[in-house]
Amino acid sequence: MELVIQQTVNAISLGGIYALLAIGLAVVFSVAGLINIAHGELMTIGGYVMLALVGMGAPWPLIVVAIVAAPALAAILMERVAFRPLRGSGPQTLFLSSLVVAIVLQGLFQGLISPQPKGIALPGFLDDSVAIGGVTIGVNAIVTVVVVALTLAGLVWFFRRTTVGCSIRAASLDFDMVRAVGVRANRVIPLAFALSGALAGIASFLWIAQRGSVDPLLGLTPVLAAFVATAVGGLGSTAGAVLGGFLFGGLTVLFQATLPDGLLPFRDVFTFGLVIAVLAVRPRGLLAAATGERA
Amino acid sequence: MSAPLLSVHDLSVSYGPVRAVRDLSLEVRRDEIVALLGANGAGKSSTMWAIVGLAPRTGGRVALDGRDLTKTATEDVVRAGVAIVPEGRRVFANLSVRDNLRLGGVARAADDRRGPLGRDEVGDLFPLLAERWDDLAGGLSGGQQQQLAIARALAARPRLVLLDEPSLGLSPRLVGEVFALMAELRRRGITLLVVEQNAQRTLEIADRAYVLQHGRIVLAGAAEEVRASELTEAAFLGGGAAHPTPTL
Repeated sequence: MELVIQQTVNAISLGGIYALLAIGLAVVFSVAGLINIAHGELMTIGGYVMLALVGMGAPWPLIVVAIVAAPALAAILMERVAFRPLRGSGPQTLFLSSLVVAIVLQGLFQGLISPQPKGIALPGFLDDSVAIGGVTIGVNAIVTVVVVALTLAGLVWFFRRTTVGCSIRAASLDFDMVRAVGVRANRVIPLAFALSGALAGIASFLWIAQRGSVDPLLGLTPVLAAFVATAVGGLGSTAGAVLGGFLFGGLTVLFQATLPDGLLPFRDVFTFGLVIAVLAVRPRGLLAAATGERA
Repeated sequence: MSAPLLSVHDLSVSYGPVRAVRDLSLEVRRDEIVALLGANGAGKSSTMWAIVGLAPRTGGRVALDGRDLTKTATEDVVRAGVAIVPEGRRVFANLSVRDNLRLGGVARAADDRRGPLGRDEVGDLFPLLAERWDDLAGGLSGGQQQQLAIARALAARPRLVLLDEPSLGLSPRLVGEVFALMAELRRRGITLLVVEQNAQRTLEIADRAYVLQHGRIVLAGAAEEVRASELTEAAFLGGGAAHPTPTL
């Protein structure tokens, strides 16, 4: 029983990180029609900002703010430099541009910082565990679950109660019509990028809190999972991104915990196999953004 | 006489090699209902979208109340007071009625004294929409979606509404309601440029009309003149086109 609870918490915390990343991808895809390959690099930027500030002995509240703000600013910059000039060109062009951004940033991290992982000294309490009702759970996992829950609650408020949030949801169906009611593309697109960057920053903090180091390819694995999550959930659907994130995180933990030792190296074969099965049945994902009424 | 509310001069629209609109000029004066008529593919919708800058213009000028909007971004044309009710309604299906109207209100001038379009005011014109305030637009019937698309345009407190095929796909009874609504909007001081297949009924409520054929204006004048003209007949009015079979 204890194992089940521990693994459930693990699944929620891993799935939650994937969900935050997947929402960022979905939001940018909604408004810019872009699958942002460089999303992982936003995470990595957050990681290096954390490394630098911890190294300088900055107070933790400042570090937390910076790890969210820096990737958000980087995302706005990315949009301005690499995507806005290409607006209106096809998805392939935008995809290639984001690939170039990712490769350039990875190269810069390797050349200017280090190709090797750099350890980050985290507050000691993150390594502790607590017993809740007789079940031992890592503080790390609890922090992750709480942060993810608060972030998702904030996002629900943002998407339901604010005009910008509504614009982003509407844009996933019909961006031209969103402009035709007067929403400024040059406001809502950078805002969507900033949101995706901020979420990547939060994910970066939680990811590093579990691993204790940052390297140039930090974002690669989690963002790959997030891509899969958005595909499973339905590209452009934020609810789908959350569902896909938790599903993919849950499956990963499930196979990790239940596969016999001999099959454990093939864990990802099982998770991705299931993903392919889902996409075979629902090619547009579980919660594909409904197509607009254009009869 | 003061400048017309909307003036379009020598507008051309091309989709690649296809010229959808050629050297089109038209005017809409304050408090008028102006009809833009023509057969399918005559360039009516392209003209509407080109006015707000969402169709590829290859020439011409657009001005609202004397202010040149030719190079203005779509968002700012709409904010200047031109709201569009597009063909096919294009309501935001994944948002509630309330949130559709919230987005419609984005273009409202900050100093507009009437304030945001509220539920009571919506209920006054569209009682059914007020009842379904928190329901998703995608779940509304076709007629309700058409009402929502119009209400969304009104939420901007526009000076001019471009109505593209508002009766398309509606049952005969709802078609009647849409035409009654247009007359009511004019009474409320809203200027309309209307694209319609249903030419006869449109000409009954319009002040003036333009007839488009192959992207060019072939006839312009007061509604009754246009109705009487053989050119209108030739352009598309003959046969069943004046009484299209409802598809819904």
